[in-house]
Amino acid sequence: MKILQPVNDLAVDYVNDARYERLAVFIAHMQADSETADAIADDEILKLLYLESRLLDQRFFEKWMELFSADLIYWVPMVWGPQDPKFESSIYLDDRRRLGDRVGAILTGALHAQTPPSRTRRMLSNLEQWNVSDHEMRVRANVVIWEYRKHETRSYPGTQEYEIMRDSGKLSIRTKVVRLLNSDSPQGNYSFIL
Amino acid sequence: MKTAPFKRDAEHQEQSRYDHLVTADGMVHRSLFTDPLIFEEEMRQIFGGTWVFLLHESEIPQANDFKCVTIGRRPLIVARDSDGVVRGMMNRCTHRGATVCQQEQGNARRFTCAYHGWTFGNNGDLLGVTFPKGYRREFDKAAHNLGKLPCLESYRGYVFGSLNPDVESLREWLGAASEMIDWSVDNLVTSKARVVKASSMVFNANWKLQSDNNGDMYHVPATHKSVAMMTQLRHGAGKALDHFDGDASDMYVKYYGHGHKLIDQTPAIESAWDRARPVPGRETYARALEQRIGKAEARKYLEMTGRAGINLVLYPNIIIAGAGSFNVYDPVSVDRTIVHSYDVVLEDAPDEVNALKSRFKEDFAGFGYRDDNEIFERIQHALTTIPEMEWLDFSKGLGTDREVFEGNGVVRGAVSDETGIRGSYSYWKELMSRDIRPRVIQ
Repeated sequence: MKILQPVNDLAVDYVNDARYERLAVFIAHMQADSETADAIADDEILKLLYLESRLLDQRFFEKWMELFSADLIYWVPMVWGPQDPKFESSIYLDDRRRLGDRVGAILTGALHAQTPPSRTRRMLSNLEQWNVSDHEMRVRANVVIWEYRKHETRSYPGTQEYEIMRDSGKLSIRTKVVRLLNSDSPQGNYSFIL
Repeated sequence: MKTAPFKRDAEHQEQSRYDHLVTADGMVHRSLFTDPLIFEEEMRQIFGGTWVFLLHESEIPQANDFKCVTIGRRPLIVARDSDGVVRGMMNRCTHRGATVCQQEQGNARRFTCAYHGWTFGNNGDLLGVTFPKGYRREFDKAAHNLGKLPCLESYRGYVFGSLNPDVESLREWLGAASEMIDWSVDNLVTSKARVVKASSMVFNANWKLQSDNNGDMYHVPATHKSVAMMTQLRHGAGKALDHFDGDASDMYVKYYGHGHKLIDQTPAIESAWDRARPVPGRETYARALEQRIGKAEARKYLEMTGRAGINLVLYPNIIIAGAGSFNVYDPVSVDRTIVHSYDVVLEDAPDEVNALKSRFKEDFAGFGYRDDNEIFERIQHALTTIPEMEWLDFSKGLGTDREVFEGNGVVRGAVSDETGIRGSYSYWKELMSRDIRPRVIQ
């Protein structure tokens, strides 16, 4: 899938009240403290999440975007605590179109904040899985994103929460939430895609 | 048209010791950005010597609301007491110096220091101490009230404070710049706007690089090249910042005096909405809004969800960007700065408007600011490490017929010129040279 081309045929109408409500239900579940998971993430899910992390670390951005569903929400909240993503600004709240813009800016080769580019490694652990149905799974993981750029290494610890759908046997990521521990602290250069 | 050098008022005609650092040729010395001693002086002479933006009235709307901000690094509690009076109080116990408030924002009648339990009212008065005996003289509570700003005034909801008891009135100090504050507030469509935090960022560079950049249109094509290319390829022309084409339009920059500068992009922006990069929900919420209130009314609101096109940079620490949006600079050290971004929720507008506004406020923060900050850090690095190259060149437009003196200290320049930035440095020199005594009152 080529990113730096006109996006005329991209489905964008899915960003509406219903989609925000769905997001609210998802995050309410993920933030509930005392729920025991149905499983430690099984192999099939682990393969997907490790692939997603690896493609992003390897900067195979266009291939990475193929893992997301057509009605993706990619959310990096700012507010720590109860949130209202429709009305509150976030670090990122992207649909497919805007996530593609973020990737596209890097792919132009002209993004100064990625000149030189960051090197990243995402470490996932504490993977808990909830099976809403046989075609909808929710996964929560602890994450540390390690980033090296211009002689400095930084870490971004937090949680990642995924809504994963199965459609005709194929898995895709419908929602990804990156909840940084320091989300409401002044942010540095996050242009490497959190 | 004949141009003249920046005039100082009569009491500052004598040579400033900073004349050799900010020259009449528009050159500025690197030490302004790298010298920690100059930074400390700025915290006193500038951030302690003139008006500093603190917060917007709508952030502390109710009696007993408070917010913690900074004034030149100093932690300050801005509180509205039970009578509605707003004060700025140093967040520093008058006993042995601990900060008394650890919450960024809230509602409280009292602040109690965790160390020895001294309790202060939200008007700064010391209400009580534990174990008051044992002082040589009768313990004087009033002498131990929280240190307050001697001056606090607001204009159109923007609250400023000063540690300088002799500062001119806020109105006088804003001068002609108030016309753009008026424009920005009066154009908001609704009158019930509540300021909300949008984001914060930090970079390892001097605060003046941010201020200079906010008064600079020249950098747009080179610095923001990636956004321009990506937006053009994916969304076509006529979006984002491609309305800047050198000096081809009627856009301009301006210096208002007292350090305030402006970029007016509105002559080249026919519709903020049309030019807005597409945010999540653009089409859905625009359609829903039109269905709800009709196309004409909807358009008025949609224009509030894009780039209004003014950069009003009030000295030293705030840029007002129109449509309710503003950014505040918090200097941390000579080579580190925090910037807080704010927007407004339009309380009596349909939900669709605010659902678009929230998404637009994120846009340039993610796609534009990071490139600016990267540039600032490159500058900071080179200025700090190469003492043999002393000067930064801000002379674009100086002494040319592009520089137009409009009277009352107001100077207009071509949009790609550094006219406004030069003006800010002339004021910097003036403030740094003054004999002022910042203080708190109790």
